[in-house]
Amino acid sequence: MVISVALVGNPNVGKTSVFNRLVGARQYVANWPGVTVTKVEGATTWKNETLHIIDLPGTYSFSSQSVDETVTKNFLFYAPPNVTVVIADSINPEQSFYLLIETLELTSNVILAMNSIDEAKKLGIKIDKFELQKHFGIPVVFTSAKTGEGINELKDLIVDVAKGKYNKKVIFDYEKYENLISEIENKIPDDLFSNKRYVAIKFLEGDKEFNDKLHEYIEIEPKMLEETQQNIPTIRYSHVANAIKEAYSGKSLNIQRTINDKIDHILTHKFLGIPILIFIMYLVFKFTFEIVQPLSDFLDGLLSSLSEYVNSFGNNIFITLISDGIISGVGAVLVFIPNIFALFFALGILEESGYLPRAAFVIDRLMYKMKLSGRAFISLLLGFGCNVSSVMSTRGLPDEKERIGTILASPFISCSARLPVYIMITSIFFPNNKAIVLFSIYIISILITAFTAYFVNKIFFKGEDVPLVMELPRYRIPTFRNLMIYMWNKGSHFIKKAGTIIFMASIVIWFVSYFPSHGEIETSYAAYLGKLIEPIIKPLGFNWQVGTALFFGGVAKEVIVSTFSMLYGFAEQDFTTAKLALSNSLTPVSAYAFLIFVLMYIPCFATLAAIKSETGSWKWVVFSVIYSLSVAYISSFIIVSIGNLIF
Amino acid sequence: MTLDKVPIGIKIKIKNILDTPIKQRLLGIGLIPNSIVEVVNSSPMGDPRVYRVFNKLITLRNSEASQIEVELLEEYIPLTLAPDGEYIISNFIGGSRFLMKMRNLGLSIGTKVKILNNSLYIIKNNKHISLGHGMKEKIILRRI
Repeated sequence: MVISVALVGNPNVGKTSVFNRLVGARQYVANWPGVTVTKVEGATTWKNETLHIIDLPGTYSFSSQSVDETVTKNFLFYAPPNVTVVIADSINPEQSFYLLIETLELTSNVILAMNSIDEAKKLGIKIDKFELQKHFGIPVVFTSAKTGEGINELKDLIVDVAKGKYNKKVIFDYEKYENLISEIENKIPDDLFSNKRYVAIKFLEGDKEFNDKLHEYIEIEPKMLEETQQNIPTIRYSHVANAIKEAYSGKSLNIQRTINDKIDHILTHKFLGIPILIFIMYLVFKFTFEIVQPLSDFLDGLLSSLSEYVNSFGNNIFITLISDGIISGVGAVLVFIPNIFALFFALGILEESGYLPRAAFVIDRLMYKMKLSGRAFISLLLGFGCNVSSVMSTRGLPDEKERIGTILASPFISCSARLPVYIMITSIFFPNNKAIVLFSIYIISILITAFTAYFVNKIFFKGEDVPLVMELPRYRIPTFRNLMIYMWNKGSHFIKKAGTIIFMASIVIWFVSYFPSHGEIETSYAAYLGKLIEPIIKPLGFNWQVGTALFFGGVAKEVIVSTFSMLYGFAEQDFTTAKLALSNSLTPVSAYAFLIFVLMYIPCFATLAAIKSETGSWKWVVFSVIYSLSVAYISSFIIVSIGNLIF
Repeated sequence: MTLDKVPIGIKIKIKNILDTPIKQRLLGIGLIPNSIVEVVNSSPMGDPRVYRVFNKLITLRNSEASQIEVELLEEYIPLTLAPDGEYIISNFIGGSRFLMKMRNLGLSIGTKVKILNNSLYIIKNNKHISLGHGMKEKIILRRI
């Protein structure tokens, strides 16, 4: 028998750690259909039964309209699993029990797992298991994802519950609203919903979906609805308070509090908070882009010798397709992989330890103006290293609006791959003003990123704010096991999803540069393409060689440099020849416009692939391409027009 | 009064949550009428701030906290918000240096004080004490 199991719980209660304990590394990561919320599934065998486990997004309730909560609620309501496990925090159980009561109203076959029991014991908190079982009418298990305590017992319970061993149902009383609830229950048509009590309660809480479906059957005074909207959660919390009063005894929580508060006092300090944030981000950068760099370089070397080796077999179409097309194309992206894994390792530490939400808290004020929250700051900052890591890291952002906004804005952060282009152009055209030109590009990059985040929110999400109702969890020491699973899940997702797209794109690029003249780039389709778009880019002062270079720059921005060297026939480091060749085709003004164009125009393939894999939709990829091309063209055009007037 | 106006270190009781798009999220996380919330800290730029809700730390922007109506607890009134009347000092929110300064002025936990026309007097000797706003925020009073 296959038993489907859903894990439900507040954010930060260790839900994912319990999941990792249950299924180990056998996990499958995907997106929920149509949204950017991650869906993690896994399977394990226990007592001859297969447990198919789904880790649902962390939520506090099923009432708000956020995407995560809707996904969780709809899954439990429309596709109920055999067993639902609510993971609660043993130390601060209030919000967990609130969600538990909502879950009990929504579905049956529920198990309560009291997690972090080891920490609770250490603090001297005593919890009466039987009292909890009596209050909620369901089996309860004490677990610790850290030590592995209670995990086997949980698996036993899952099998027992799936076999129907426990089927008691506790009804939570809503006092003076009970009459109203049954009145509404009676008015709900039989063919619409079967769990009428739940729908009636949610209706009174102002659930949008149920209100839309039921308003033709039920009339209720707006004043009454306003009252129940606030009072139903209040009554639910009074049930929580009763359960805690009966089941909890022992020491208070003050010791834990003081240690946490002391760390917080430093990390979110008025003057130290921001410098500490910057220092920690510097360490993440150093680790992601510098410490693992030898590994990337090693991979790079390995791939180019592989490509040379393949080339040594002769010079026919098939061999060049493999060596120049696939190996170097896929390889250009493959060399990012050590960086991506390193990035997720570093982010994993920040997230597991509890620092990440603090960082968001410290920097939120700045991001708020762009219609983002502090959580997006880290994602955007990583973009200075590589836009792919930026897009990939948005996975941790809990708000869909913010996720999309950050994903679409991040390609405008000037990544390190663009630096070789800037260096070549500035050395040729602005040898005396290098620093100021580079500085201006980075400033423009930040401005356009901020504008894009704001603009995307305005047109797609009607300017709605991204709220910052966020929990600052207890500090914890990350476990190596969780870090490894975290890194592997997130990193391998990129390889699988982006890999196919990049593979296809490399073949196409190779095709247009190889045919029809067997590798002579000046007469290839790519050059034709450059000539074809020449009339369009002419107003910017670009010729067809520039057009061709830009075309290849779409693969990866640093390729622009090598394309120029091929087209004009100079060695990549040889600036004197390059200067002669390039200054014939670009004026200083159009060279600056070219820099801006390179900064803004289409995200590279790897970034586009990451956008596709993170948003799960081609819509955002298309938007990103069209939007960035238009912004690049308009900005360059303005620069050329104004520049030509002045100089 | 709304939650965003409450000084750091103060505990208050939630009265009502105004109609906002995130109302249900706030209720779900435990910000319900009659529950007691403590203002724990503020971020370096003063907004957002952290609040203790049932022992969990929850961040809210000031624009979000301004949608939450609160009332002072009888036994927990910051000096800045205390109306005229007689009080006992119940707590100080500050380090040892602040406590020393207060002691030198004749103020310690348990001292009976009086507020008249926004000025602070020690009842015992009717001595007038003038303090800055920052210091006043750190003195917690209980009504007699």
